[in-house]
Formats: sequence, C-alpha cells, structure tokens
Amino acid sequence: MSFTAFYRSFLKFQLPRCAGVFPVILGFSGLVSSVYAQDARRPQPSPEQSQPSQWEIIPQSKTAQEKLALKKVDLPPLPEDVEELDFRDFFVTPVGDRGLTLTERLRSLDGRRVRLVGYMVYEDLTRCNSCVTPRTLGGRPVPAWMEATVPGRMMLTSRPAAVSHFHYGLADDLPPQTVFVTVPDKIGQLVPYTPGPMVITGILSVGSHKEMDGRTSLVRLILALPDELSATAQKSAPVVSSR
Amino acid sequence: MKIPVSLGKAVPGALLLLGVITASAAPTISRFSPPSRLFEIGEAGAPYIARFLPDQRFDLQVTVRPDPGQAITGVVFKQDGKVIPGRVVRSTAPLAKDLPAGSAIYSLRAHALSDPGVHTITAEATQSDAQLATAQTNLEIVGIQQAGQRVKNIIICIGDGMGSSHRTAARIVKNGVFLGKANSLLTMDQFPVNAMIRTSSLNSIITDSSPGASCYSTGNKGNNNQHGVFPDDTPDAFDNPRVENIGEYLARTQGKALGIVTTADVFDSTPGAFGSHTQSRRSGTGICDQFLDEAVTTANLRVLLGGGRKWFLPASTPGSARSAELDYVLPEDVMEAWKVPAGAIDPERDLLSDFQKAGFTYAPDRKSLSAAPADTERLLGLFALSNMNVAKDKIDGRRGHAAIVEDYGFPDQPMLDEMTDKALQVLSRDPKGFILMVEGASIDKQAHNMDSDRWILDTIEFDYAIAKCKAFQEANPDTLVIVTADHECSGAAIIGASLVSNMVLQERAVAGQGKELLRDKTVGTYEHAGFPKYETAPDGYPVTTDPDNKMLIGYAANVDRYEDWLTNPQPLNDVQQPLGKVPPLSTYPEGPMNRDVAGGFLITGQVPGGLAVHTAGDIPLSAAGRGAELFGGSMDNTDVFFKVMQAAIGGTSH
Repeated sequence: MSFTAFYRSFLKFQLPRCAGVFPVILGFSGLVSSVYAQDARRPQPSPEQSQPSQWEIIPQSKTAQEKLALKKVDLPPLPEDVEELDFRDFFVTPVGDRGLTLTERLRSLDGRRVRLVGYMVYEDLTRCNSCVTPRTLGGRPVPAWMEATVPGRMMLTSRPAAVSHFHYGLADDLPPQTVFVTVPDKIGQLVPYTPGPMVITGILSVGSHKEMDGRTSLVRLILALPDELSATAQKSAPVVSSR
Repeated sequence: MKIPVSLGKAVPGALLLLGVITASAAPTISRFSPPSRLFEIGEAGAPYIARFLPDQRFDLQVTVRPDPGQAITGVVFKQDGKVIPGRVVRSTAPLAKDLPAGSAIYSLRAHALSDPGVHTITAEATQSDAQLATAQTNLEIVGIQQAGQRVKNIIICIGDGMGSSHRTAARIVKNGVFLGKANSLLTMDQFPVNAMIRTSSLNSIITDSSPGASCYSTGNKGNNNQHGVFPDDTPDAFDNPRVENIGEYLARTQGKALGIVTTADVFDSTPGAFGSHTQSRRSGTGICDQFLDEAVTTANLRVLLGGGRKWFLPASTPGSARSAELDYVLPEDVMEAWKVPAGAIDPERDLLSDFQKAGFTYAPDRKSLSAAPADTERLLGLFALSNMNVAKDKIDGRRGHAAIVEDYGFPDQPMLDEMTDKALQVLSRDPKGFILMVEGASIDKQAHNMDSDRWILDTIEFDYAIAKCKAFQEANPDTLVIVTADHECSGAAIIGASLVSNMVLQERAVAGQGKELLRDKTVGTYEHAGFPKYETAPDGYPVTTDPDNKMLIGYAANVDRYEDWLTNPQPLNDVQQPLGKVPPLSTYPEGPMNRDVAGGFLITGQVPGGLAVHTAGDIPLSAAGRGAELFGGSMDNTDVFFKVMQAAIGGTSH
C-alpha cells in the first residue's frame, strides 16, 4: 500500500457521533498525534505532503516469534518543548527483589511535556458486579461501562495488553510501565478503544496515585490538545516503529 | 340514619381485611446460612447444599427484616429443639442498601457438629412487639469411614479453565498423534482413575474461579466472586459466614502443612481460596494480609509461590497496589470465635518484610528459588508484580527472545514445574504431611483471550508440574495426587487443521479476503485435518507453534473476533496492524477486534463483552496414588473435598 493510500485510509478511521458522545481520533500521524474529538470534515493532507511508504511487511517463516515485521522508521521531529520518552526509560530493569526503581530520567521529566509511542490498553467493559469502582456518582447510578473503567482515562503500554475487571480484577497482565492517560476532551466519558501503536504527547506526572478503579498509577500523562502542538509536529508524517 | 348499602357492605370487608393484615404482619428471615433447599424452597431432602466434616467449623447467620416501625431484638439458634450454645452476635456493620430499616444480621460463629447425618437448624428472631420469625435450614455432616491406611500428603493440581479439549490440544502439540493413536501421553493422561466433575456455583450454572476453587478447599458451594464464605447482606468483604478450609482443618487436626503455588497473582481466586475467606475476590490487600495473619498460623501455610508482589510492598513503594479500600478489619465475633487477628487497614504495611520476619525465605526469581537452602522450612516466592508471564513468553525468554519478559522487568521467572519441585522439597520435610495446591493459572487467562497457542503451552507447562507431583507420589506412596479444574473456559474445541503451510497461511493472514480464504480454503476438517505435527525442542516445548498444517482451535463461548490462525507475537494485538485495514469503528468494540484483522476473517461471537467466558460443561478429574480409587463416575466438585478428606482422615483400603 502507498503511503498516500495508507494516510487517507487512516484518516477515515474515526468514530461517528453516537448518543451525544463525540468521536475520538487517536492519532498516529503528525496531524493527529494526540487524542481529541473531531468530525469527518477535518482537512486532509494534500498528496504532495505525503511521502512514499515508510514501512513494508517482512514475512518471517523461520520462527514463530513474529508473524510480520515492520521496518523501523523515524518519528516526526520533536517539538522544541517536548522530550522523547521511551517505556524502557521508566524503571531500572530487571526489577530487583522488591519494588520498582524509577530512573533519574523519568523523575527529571515529571511535570514536563513528553512524547511516547505505545498501545492503548483494551479494557473489557463487561459489567462488574463486585468491582471497586463506585456504583453511584452524585447520587445517580453510574452507567454500566463506568463499573469497568474510569471515565476520561485510557492506559498506555509498551506492548498491547488487555484488562477486565469482571474476569480478572487486579490480577492483570499489565506491564509495570503502564501510563495512565487523562483525555481532557473525554472527562466524564468513555474513551473509546483504538488499536495499534500511537504517538501520545502530554504533560507527565510521576508518583503513586490511587485510581478510581482501584489501580495504583505510578506514571500519568495529561494528553496535549492539538492546538498545543507545534506546527512542525503537525506537518510530520505518520510513523510506525517496530519493536 | 340510613347507612348507604355500599358502605354497609364495604365496612365489614374493610375491617376483615385490616384484621387479616394485622394478624399476618411479622418479621421475616430473608437469609439463612448455611444455605439449603429447605430454607429456599421448603424441600428437606437431598441434595444437601451445605455439607461439612465432623467438627469442621462454619458460621450460622440469619438476616432478619422487621415490620415497619419495629426492630429486631434478638435471635436464637436451635438444633433438635435445644438452644445451640455460643455467642449470638448482632452485626454492627452497615447493611446492604436493599434491606428495610431496622433489619439485622445475627451470627453464631465457628459452630461445628460431630454426628454424621442430616441436621436441621432453626432460627427464631424476636421483634420489638414480641412477634417471632422462625426459619429452618439443614445440612449434612459427612461421616468418615475408618478404612485403613491414611493419605499423608495431598496434592491438588488445578488447571484453571482446563476442560477436556485443553488437555487434548496439549497432548497433540506436545506428543502428536499418528495413525489414530497418541505417540505418547501427557502425565495427567496416565493417572489411573478419572471422573467427570460438575462445576456449578451456589448462584449459577456458570461458576467463576472463586467458588470453583472454594468447592475443593471447603467442600461447599459459594457465590461467584466469593471463596471460603457463604453470601451475606453486608458490603463488608471480610465479615461473611466462614467455612473452615482444608488447610485450616488438617493443620488443626493433624498438624499438616500447606503450600500454595500458582502462576497467577497470589491473591487471585484459586490461590486465594486455599488461604483466605472473603466475598470479594478482588480484595488483594486483605487476601494477602490474611495469608500471613491467618493462614500461616491456622493453616500452617509454609509455601507461597507465584506473582503478586505488588500486594506485599508498602503503598508508597513504586509498584505497590496496596490500598485501604481492599483491606479489612474483622468483626470482634469473628476474631474471637475463629481465634484470628483483627487485621488492620494498613496500606503502608511491609508485608514482604513481615513474611521474612515470620521465618520465610524470600525468592524474587528463579535463581534465588533454586538457591533456597535444602533445609528451608518456609518459602515465599514473588516472581512478578501481578501475574507471571505466560509459558510461551517465559520459554521465549530462555531461548534468547526475551523481549517480553525483559519489558516486564522480570526476565528470570521460574516455570511452574520448577516452582512445584521446590515446594515439594520444602513441604516434604514436615513429618506430618502436607496439602499442596498447584495451579496452572493462565490456561484460563489465555483461553479468555482466545489465544490458542498460549493456553496450549500453559497446559503443557501445567503437565510438567503434574509430572513433578506424580514422581513425588511414586517415591512417597502415601500421597494422593489429583488433577482437576475449576471450570472450562471459552468452549475451546479442536476443529481441524490448516490445509496449508505456514508460509501460505502468513500470506493469507494479510490478504484481507475474509472467510472465503481463511476459513473455506484453510480449515481442514475430518480426514483433511490429518495429524498436525509439532516438533519438540530440547526444553520440552514446541520449536514453533506455527508448523505447516497446524492444529486449529474454535471457541463456543467467544466474543466477536478476527482469526488468522497464526500465533500472536504478542497477546491480544499485533505490532503491525496496518491501520488502513482496521475497519472504522462506530461503537466501542465488544471484542478484541484489533487482533488478526488483516486477514478480514471475522467470527461473530455468542457472548457479549470483550473476552470469552466460562462454560458449564463438566470437566475431567484424574487421580493417582493412595485414595485414588475413591474417585470416579460423575461427581459434584464439592464431593472431591470429602473424598480427599476420607483418604486423609479415615484412610483407604489400598
């Protein structure tokens, strides 16, 4: 597939308005490198702004380790006030015999604007009858999905992962380097799931915090809105980095 | 004055109705523990829901609803017309919101009966206007026959979610089938005795892992999400009516030791059911506290191995998940009757250090587990913050593809058979014997994910652990080994094999031609399935889970999903989903539609939600060693407990 076709097909991936819930585009391109609500009339990049395909599929038949592999490509140029952050920068690994040790790099970025490439955690919304999340909010019953996840929040991990309060509770398979992302445009609302790797930019917050669903977050990020991104980043090409 | 005819007829009727209403007003007993068909539907005969061993402790409890404006002033429990001695305490905990004002819960804790047979318990509740409410429940005390040689050691291997198809699939991958016969059998296949186990819980035909394990640990049914207890009417997660479990009973009566080994977070349902009592399987802080505060003392817990380090670190330690909301303080009557500590809301507790102070040797990884001294008497192993990585990812790590285990930060996690081996070394030092529970936990978790290759490898890992148990049993003939499951998960079925090579399958996986290609031209059924062949590496696991003509798994309890039959390089999602091929989503997806999308083969599911679910199908049990002959035929999951106890207390003639 050419890059143009890929880019256009990517921009078609969006959620229509449904029951008053504004669609969310979790971007993978430089134009959509943060999560926010938008409609289908968002301007499309002109063909001359696109680039030739930057990735190719490499089938591997020798081992079962990878079905497909992508050639590594570069991320778009980093805005001036943004620091690049990798999940591998979070903690000292291997983890010792007790808890996690935050790296100096992570600590130094507390309160700073950072950029991460990761995957949105899939949260099963099966109604949870014995979950920690409150069943009422302001005296009213919460919607069923709010029993299974926290409104206005998504989780980001280095590898695809899923959680289910109903099936697993907190006996989960999340890696320690899980970022709890607040989506400002989705406060009080469900953040719809989007698969695939994505580039996330926002303000980093480091330190233990008890989440509404009983989880303890160690690293959080408040997602940047598009207007907060530099023009340089917005013109950059979408990327995929292989892992 | 002439009285209107209508009024003249209406007044007597109204007075009569008022009299009827007044006469029938009375408090009601809306719940009685232990539960029974007698209380629920008025049937006094078999099957008896609540069953106990002679002198096995359990709580009596009633919930009483008063008439409007009245209050409940007291409850008396009677058996055979006589008041049962013991403190009857009114609960001071907040009650469930659906109870009317003035409702009360009364308990008589840690009761026990000695005489085998059916017993009826009566509760009499008094209201402030002196009206009485009466209700009855019944239970069976299952007698023990003195039959010969006792079992000294009991090993219960639980493959979480492992149904018949899971076993078969693991056998095919590990050993292969040719000309109609398995080339060799799994260890669990070679157990001489088999039975089929019915798995329903107290409140559903479909159980979950909490009552699914609690049936084995207590001999009693439980509500979903609850283990070691019967349900009650308070939100408090730890004040429920308790049932004494196998570890507590045998420690108290025979001095046996207890070991719990799992690949899951140790607070998870199956390990939790052998070491704690709670109505909330999610209360990780309290469950892990209870392992130390109660199980070590009352059940002689000596070995605890698995994941879940996050519950053992102070809340302020990075990686900790301890919280006040998931902790407990016991009611005074529970403390006094069961002789256990109150507990405390202590998220900053250093539980790991407390275990070490209690004499536990701590192993954070495989290397230290192996290095634990031969004379270790108490062993705690916490190999991951939550669940351990699955077998495939651990094996990949050992084969030099350690990306996943390294990403998680725990590159040196032991395999379940290594954990089992060490647990047996420690427990076998006890001259009075032991109970060991070994759980292959991620068979279920990966079946929920409909990740065929991962649950198959987890089942193979589980079988290697069973082999350690079988070898121990052969060296120690006074040992009983049971292999069972809590339930089946996902409705897994072996539907056939791929008609094409792996290379062709990979091409089809990205061709986007949907079922016409990935189903109609790929799935070989009947004789077209042939005999899938997996080569086993020297480490005992398949060289690859993507051989040519690989075995194919279907799911009867699945959600909407895509399928391309190839091993997922990572659980639940592919690294390289070409975004252009992901269909636009109009609603929040109910299934893991993000995986295997490129092939375009959508399979719509039977159940809502995001993950495959448990099924109610009977599951196979296998038994070996002394007492194995006590099992067989169709059994209720609670029967297993009583057969085990017959072997341990009364013995067996073999």
